[in-house]
Amino acid sequence: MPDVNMPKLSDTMEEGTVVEWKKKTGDAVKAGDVLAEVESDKATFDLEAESDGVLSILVEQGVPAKIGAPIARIGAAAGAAPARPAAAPKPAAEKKPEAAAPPQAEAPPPAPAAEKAAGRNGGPNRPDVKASPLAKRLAAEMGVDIASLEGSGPEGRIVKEDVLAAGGSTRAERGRPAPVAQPVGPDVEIVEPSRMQATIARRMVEAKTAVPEFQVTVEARVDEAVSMRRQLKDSVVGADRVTMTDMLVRACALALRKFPEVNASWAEGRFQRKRAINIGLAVAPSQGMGLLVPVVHDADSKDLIQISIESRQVIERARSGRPGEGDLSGATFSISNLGMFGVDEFVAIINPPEAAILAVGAIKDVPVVEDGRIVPGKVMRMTLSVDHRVFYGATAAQFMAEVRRLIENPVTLVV
Amino acid sequence: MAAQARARGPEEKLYRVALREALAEEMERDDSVFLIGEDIGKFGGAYRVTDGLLDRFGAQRVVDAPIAEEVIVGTAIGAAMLGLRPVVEMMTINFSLVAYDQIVNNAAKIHYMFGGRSKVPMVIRMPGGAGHQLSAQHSHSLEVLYGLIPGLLVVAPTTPEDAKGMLKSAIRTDNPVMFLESMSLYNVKGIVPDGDYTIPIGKAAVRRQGGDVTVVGVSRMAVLANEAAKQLEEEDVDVEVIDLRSIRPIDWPPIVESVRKTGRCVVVEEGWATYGITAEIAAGVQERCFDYLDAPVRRMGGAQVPMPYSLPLEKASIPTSESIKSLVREVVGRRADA
Repeated sequence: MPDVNMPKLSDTMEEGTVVEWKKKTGDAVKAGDVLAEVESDKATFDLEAESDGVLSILVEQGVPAKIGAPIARIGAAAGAAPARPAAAPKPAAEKKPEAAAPPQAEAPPPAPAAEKAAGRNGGPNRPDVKASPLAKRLAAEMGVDIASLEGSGPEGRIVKEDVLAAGGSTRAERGRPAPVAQPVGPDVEIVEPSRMQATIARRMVEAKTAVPEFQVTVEARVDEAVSMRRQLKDSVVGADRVTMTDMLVRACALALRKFPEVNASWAEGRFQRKRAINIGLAVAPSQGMGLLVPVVHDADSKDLIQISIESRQVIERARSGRPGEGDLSGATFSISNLGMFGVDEFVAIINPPEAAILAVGAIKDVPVVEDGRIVPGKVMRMTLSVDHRVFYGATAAQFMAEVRRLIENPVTLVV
Repeated sequence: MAAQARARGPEEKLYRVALREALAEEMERDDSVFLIGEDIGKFGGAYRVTDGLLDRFGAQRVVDAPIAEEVIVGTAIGAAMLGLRPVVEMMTINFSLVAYDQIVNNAAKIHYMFGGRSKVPMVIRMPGGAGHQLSAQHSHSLEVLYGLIPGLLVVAPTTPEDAKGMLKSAIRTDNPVMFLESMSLYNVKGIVPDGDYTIPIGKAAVRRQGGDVTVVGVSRMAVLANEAAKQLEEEDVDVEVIDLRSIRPIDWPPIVESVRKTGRCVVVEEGWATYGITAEIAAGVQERCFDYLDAPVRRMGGAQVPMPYSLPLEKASIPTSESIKSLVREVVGRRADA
């Protein structure tokens, strides 16, 4: 997490003052953005960011800081997203400007001994670690931090072999071949990720670290949607498999048309509003194999039946490993529905450069208060993850209200 | 065993024959030794252990008794107090319960209660264990009932060599010895040294060396544990087998030494597992070896039922080498398919 230090603006300068912060804590900044106006003994300069990230201000404006002292940090989005206003460290420099605020997240890794001593219960014999008495004794003797080990015994118990492996000793002492050195227990299988899985891993880290994300959750009544689905199944040829996801694709497509700022990306310091509304559908190709996002293109111009047919086709092509051209690319917004697995609600990670993803939970039968009476109702929770650079809380709320309105009044999806 | 005996070359004998030899040799050696029990004379014993001894030693020293276990044991206790060395045969350990009062209240206590002025040098031999469709009144492993009683020595030899050597020791001991034989072992063959030798009471035997897990077996279960250990070797599980041999007293040093080496312990008996000998050993191991344990001490015993007559049910009621193997695998954290 790079520090923004008080720059040396002239040979004679010893300290400087931020006259005005142009950005505030929690703002996403890009390299080159003007962060602040800094006043030296001679002049006032624009202080530019040298890296991308989210700004945390350490020194309030008007407070002088020594040259080289950190006055802000540009860090990852997590923890600093404006939706959860960052606990911006109150500048310690406020009263003692020469005392640079110590970087909080970048504390040097504690020395191994300190780490051990800092164990929640004081070192190798932490009772909450599932380890055999022998493993605990050996770990104490060998100075191995037992909490750092993976247990290879029954139900993950840390056993002697695990401690010996961590401590450099091996089964060889019993006249057996030493296991291949690896950071985990001998009973742990190492699985190479597929290229897709490696890509997912990399992109998800990128998304989580680079995208300042916040979430909005709404609960929708879906009695009518469920009922309409049943009616479509009974009465319309070809609509036998219209799913809740299909209805959500249609609802989101219509909502996106109404809120073009959602159907957008943040790129090179600008908003890119997409003309096409292409909805990605997160699907599992097969158990444990990764994640695919087949796309229903121009979803706003297709009716529910077309969406149903097309989404089924793109999903099947993607799952069969023979996706058509464009099947897996060009999404401007994604939907991830885990409702069929009984998940009540969850938060999905944005798939950049999309600005949002909708996480859909299960439809549940619950008691609902309606006109002062308790009646049985079907509800579904939806959580929108939002790139805060692209649009903001109020827009997210309005967008979700629109999606809810559409899904609660499903006739709007077919007219 | 004497070097002289080795020079003459030991031979394989049945467990029952080894016992018979011990009885005969001790009767030859000491006039005060006599045998008493049901069907031991003319019939030669329900398990043929005393076959031929009536002809050889006469009815005064091989006494056929009526079906009256309490009287048999009471007679033996009186005889022992007066200087004889009776060896009682109970037809099965189950029947010994009829004489339990004599054994527990008299045989076990007299030496202590009389301040050492009277001794009870007697042996009660009793077969036990299941596997022969003899149903619930003839098939139990009640070792624990005697292991519980201070004043008794309780042993359960598993090899013909031990059977002979330990029976001789038992006969020569000045205290009452419960000498437990497993019915399934009578027809087991093994090398028995020639000549006079004894094996001390109160000593366990390490039957097999191993580094991964200690299996302590009681009576015939030690034999099964040994079989299981041989098979587990193919799975790269290195089992140390301890044959407990002496149920009272328990010979702790070899058990402790072994568990401290392997870090794991499994205890197996044929008797009911609840409150069993296995419980005693498991508790003792954890008291003595806690910091050396890499896994909980596990125990295995017979099903908690009166022994069924039905053959498949009877088989299902007692530990087998297969069930011992799977418990051992569990304790060392391996699966059968691993």
